[in-house]
Amino acid sequence: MLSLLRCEWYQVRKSLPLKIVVIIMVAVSIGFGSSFIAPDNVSYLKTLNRMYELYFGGVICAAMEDGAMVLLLASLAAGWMIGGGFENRVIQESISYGKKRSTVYLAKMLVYSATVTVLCLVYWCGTALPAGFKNGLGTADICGNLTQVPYIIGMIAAGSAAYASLFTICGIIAFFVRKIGTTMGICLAAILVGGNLLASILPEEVIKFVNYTPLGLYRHVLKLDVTLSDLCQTVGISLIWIILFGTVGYLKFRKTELK
Amino acid sequence: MGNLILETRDLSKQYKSQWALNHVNLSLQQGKIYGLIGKNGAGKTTLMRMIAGLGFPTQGSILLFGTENRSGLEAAGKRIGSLIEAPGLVAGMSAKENMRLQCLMKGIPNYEIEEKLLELVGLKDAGKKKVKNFSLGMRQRLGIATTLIGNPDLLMLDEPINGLDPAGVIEIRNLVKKLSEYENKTILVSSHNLPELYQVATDFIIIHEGEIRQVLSHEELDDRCRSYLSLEAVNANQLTAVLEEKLRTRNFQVMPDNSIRLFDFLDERERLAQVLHENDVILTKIAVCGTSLEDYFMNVIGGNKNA
Repeated sequence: MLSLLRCEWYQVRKSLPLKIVVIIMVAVSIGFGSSFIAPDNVSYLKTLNRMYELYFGGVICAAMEDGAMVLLLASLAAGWMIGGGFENRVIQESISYGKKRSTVYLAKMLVYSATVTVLCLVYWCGTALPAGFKNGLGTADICGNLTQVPYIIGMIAAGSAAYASLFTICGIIAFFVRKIGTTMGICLAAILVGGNLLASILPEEVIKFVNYTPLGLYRHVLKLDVTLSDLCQTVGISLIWIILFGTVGYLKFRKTELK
Repeated sequence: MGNLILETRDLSKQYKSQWALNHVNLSLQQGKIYGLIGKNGAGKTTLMRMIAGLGFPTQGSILLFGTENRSGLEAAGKRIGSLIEAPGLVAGMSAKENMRLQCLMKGIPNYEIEEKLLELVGLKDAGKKKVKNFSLGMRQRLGIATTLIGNPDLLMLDEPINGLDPAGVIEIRNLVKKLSEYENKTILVSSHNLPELYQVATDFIIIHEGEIRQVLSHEELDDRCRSYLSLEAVNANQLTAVLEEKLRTRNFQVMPDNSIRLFDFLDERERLAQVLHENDVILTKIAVCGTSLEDYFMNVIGGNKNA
């Protein structure tokens, strides 16, 4: 397992596309984050009663609500890292060498999830940095619990876990499809379109249930008055979904005929 | 007789209604180069994929280095280097980086092996070049280099000369020959090009429609494909005496019907005829005979309409 993790990490380090994505994420997030504290935006936020978006915790919360960005990063990474692993046959080489399919699968999913999480963290924290430097953490009457660093860290951790349960699906799609472009297309189309479609056609009662699935789980922690209970519940439910999806993906992969 | 490296027993693989492999029984001994020959779709790649663990047999078993249980096979996999369909290379990395990747994956801490193997396959000066800029022949050679990491006992090369120009074919051929001397490795190389495999392999496995039709050594194949002069004479004993005493050759066979198969003088038929005539040997037949490799292969698979 350790050798596979080292191998995966080496591929991440040497990946030019990923390096480019990181650079773009840093630039985009800081640019985007600067727009939050622009003078024109202050009065706009006042009218919307969203003054918390001028402070570090609040901006992170706002940035983390951008599920589309997470899905975009997850789809790209699933295609490159997992689909690419099949197309360049490095995964097949590992199996021919005698590595267990469970180990290959786990190593791939772990490094994929870690990479997407790091990319998301770059985006979220990069967006919040300008506000953080200029206005700090804010006050409790504006930012609620998000003036306290432990709650900010907890929100990021729980939100990451919730998103991980969502982009695990992208990883599994990649193991099913085993191609770069098709993986990216299906992940983006199925989850983005599927999510929006479900939201528009499903009755209210069912949507409440959807908020406990990966499609809506992150919303439980993206709020100013987030509590420890919210964080723990979200992490726990996320882990259940991750294990469930991960198991389904593995059960399929272990019987897959590889060319 | 060398150690048995690989054994398959009634190995079969079915895809829907078609049997890609049908009761394949094989034994590979240590230190030999086995040429696996068959037409496209004969089952060569399927067989290698089953051995490499990329596919699952429908029936039968595979014994690698004497073991067939699951954990044993996984350990045995570390003693195999395989190049199936295409080499496992990351196009955006250099040759050396790809070698390092394989070392990491295989848990080989000795990075000095990278330079040695690149030199062995003739890519010493291309270590920093990105694989996406490699020719097909260079990719194949790098692929072979990566299979050698970990010093495997069994190498499986699936059609390594496909798509290569003549210079590339010669490079791979010379490399495979060098590898057989490189620590007594067993090599299984597949191709549909029998003349090319003939120059490399010590033994041949002919496969057709998922079945092993024949397994034979290089000497046996030579024997069955040799060109010869078929001679018939009024007095066969007189003919053999003249061949031995006057022409000083014993390179012939006396067949049950008293005809002679002479393996010399194929290009000196006039001289042969003259000497026989001078020694009063009355020939009733002289003809050049023999089976080409392709004809022999087609006969074995039952596809030679000219036979």
